Amino acid sequence: MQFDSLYFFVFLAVTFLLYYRLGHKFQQLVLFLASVFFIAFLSPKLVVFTLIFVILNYFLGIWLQKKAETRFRVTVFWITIAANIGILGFFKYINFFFENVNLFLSLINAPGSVKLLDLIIPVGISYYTFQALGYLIRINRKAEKAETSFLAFANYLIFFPKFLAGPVERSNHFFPQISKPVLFQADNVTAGLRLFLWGMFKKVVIGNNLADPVYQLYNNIENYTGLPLLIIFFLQAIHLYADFSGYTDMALGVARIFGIKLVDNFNRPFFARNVGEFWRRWHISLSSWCNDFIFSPFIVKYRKYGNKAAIAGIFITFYVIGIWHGANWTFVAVGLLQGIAISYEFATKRKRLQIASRLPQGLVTFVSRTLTYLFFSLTLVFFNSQNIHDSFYFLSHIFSDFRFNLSGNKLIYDSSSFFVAIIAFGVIYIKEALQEAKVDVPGYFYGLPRGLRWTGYYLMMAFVFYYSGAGDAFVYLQF
Amino acid sequence: MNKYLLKGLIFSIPLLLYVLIIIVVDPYNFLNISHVISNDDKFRVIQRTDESSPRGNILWKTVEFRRKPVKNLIIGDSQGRDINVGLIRELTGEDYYNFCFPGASFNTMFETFWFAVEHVKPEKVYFQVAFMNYNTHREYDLFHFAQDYFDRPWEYFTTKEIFIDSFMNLVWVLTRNPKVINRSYEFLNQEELQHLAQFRLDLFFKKYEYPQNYNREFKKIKAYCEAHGIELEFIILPVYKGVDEHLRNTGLFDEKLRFKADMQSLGTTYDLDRLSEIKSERSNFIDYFHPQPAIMDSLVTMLWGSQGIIGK
Repeated sequence: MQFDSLYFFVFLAVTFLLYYRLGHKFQQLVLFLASVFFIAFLSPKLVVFTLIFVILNYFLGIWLQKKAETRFRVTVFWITIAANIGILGFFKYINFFFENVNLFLSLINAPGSVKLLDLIIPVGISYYTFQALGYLIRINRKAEKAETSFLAFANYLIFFPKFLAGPVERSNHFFPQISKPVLFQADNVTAGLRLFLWGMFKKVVIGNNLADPVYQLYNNIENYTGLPLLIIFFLQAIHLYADFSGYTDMALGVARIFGIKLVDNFNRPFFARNVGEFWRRWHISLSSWCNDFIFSPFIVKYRKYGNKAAIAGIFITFYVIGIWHGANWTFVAVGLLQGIAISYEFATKRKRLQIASRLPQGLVTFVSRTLTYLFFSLTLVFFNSQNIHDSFYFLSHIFSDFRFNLSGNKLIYDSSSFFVAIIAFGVIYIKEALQEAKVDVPGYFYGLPRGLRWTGYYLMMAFVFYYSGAGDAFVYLQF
Repeated sequence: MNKYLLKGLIFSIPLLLYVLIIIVVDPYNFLNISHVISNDDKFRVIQRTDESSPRGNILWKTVEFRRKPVKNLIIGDSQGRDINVGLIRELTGEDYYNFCFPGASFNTMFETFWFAVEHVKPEKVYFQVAFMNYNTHREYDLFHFAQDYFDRPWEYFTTKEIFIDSFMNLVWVLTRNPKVINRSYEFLNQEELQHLAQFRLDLFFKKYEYPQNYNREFKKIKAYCEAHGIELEFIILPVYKGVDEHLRNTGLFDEKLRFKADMQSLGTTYDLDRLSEIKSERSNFIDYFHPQPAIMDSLVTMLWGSQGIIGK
């Protein structure tokens, strides 16, 4: 059940009415049952898996809490962490590991090979595993107590708006909201619906329309050289942003309808002036999770090694971010490249600031943003490629054999949709630029007379309606 | 909350109006509640472009057939679209249903056959077959244009195609502007048609691979027809001689002969592509592949008339 399907709208309307009509006592139960139904609609087997996962972590949390003041605390803690990483590793990475073992065996001409397992990766596993890990780490740190309400805990892990593709929610942010009764507030519902519509507009009008050329190229990469590669090099970041931030807005919007504010994932990432800042603006829920639970503890523990510890921490953190996306060397390469860039920024910060101080501020900002965008686009070549070989093909052919006839290259089949997507992104970019300059664009829009606002909503709905249907799977569902 | 729901309802008025328009116009008689626009007009609007014609014909005809099944079927592609079942009725006194869709591949025809036998026990089935689609590289299936709506009827209200068709119906009925309905390739001038013919030769034959699957599926259909006492025959319509010249130049003419032999091995095949007096005249065809309606009527007479070859 995708967010932009009619099934989902009916499901949402029924859940909404039950949630607010049945009274406060049943609100957690309604959300839990709705989430179970949502997952069952994807796959009944997935319900069994996720419920086992939820029950396991519910009791692991309570167990850890009970042992908090005993000498077994550390052992119990590592058992809970190993259980979660073990489950994630088994489903997501075991075959990748076996493939590489087989590759190694073939390289040394060793006989035999390891048989790959016939596994289906449970949808959303990376998201709820990280949420469970964050919760257990916080209990171990005594930053919070284990949640005793099963419904609250289950909703923390499988609340349907964030089940498929996050955001990676924090327990200390979620539990206080889910634990108290939510009164119907028209402002909440309106804000949620607006956010949902806005996300859908980004996803359908920009994401879907750019998905065709991006996938067309990456699925047939050796048919392309020169200009098509260059165009996709620049466009793929816009495609991914529209797709993922569109999904996130829809998820946040749905949660908001139920009076719950999930953590946001994006803060105008294309206005970042360096890679470090970029990661404070892009997929924030994941990058901040990695910062709080991997990077920070690591450099605290190894602070006696100074900058070496910081750089090692950066590489470990971005290795985890890279491999979190999937079991493929391309994602390892993404993490490695990010690690190199941020380590470089860390090591040269003082020098770069000295140079920048001698140049006009506007120029520094422009160049910094452009370089950050280009670097992110470079890493997306690895992110989008099916394997490392394709990534190197992309990069080695980007400036060769230029052909200016794009339709001849069969990259852009529907040019009008393509240009609508570009124009729509232009509008979003201008909005974000104004917001970056502290102009309250949404506030201005909400202050308009109702007739104008509603016309705006109808227009957005018309665009969504017209362009819905193609390329409609969300990129981040696969993770 | 009630006040808010009321506000939501007011906000939804344009959406409800939209639904009402679809119900009233009902471009494919899918709902069959309102008949404000005549069937002739609706069918004409479906043919308006090369985009609307394939999907529109499939949905229109399957909806019509489901409501009123006919026991004699002609299943085919755009070549057979102009086979005039009214004329066949005049000639034979029997009702036939023309299930020929522009753009139909062999897979589309197979799906159509299985769809039809779900709704009626046919007596006679004629497959109008063409070499231009007898190619592994033309393996696609347009039947989903109908099946999607049967499986998920609410999509009739949620897809832009139905909205655009409804809108074009309204524009056509209100303005009677021929530009609304005359944008298919059939209305191109001679020079543009010539260009299109060349384009289509490339499209159909640039990549050729003998289709193993089609023969297998035809054998399944043949077995089904034999088991259920259905008469199964094949019709090959003529194409302009330029197509054959192109096939000779590209080394594919033997494949065309192989295609005809395959059809003949499946059952009685009326090969009208042998009629050199029709094939040699460019004006007998719209483009290289589609005989003019008048020629098609003469072919129908040749097949089903009192002196016709069918049943002889």
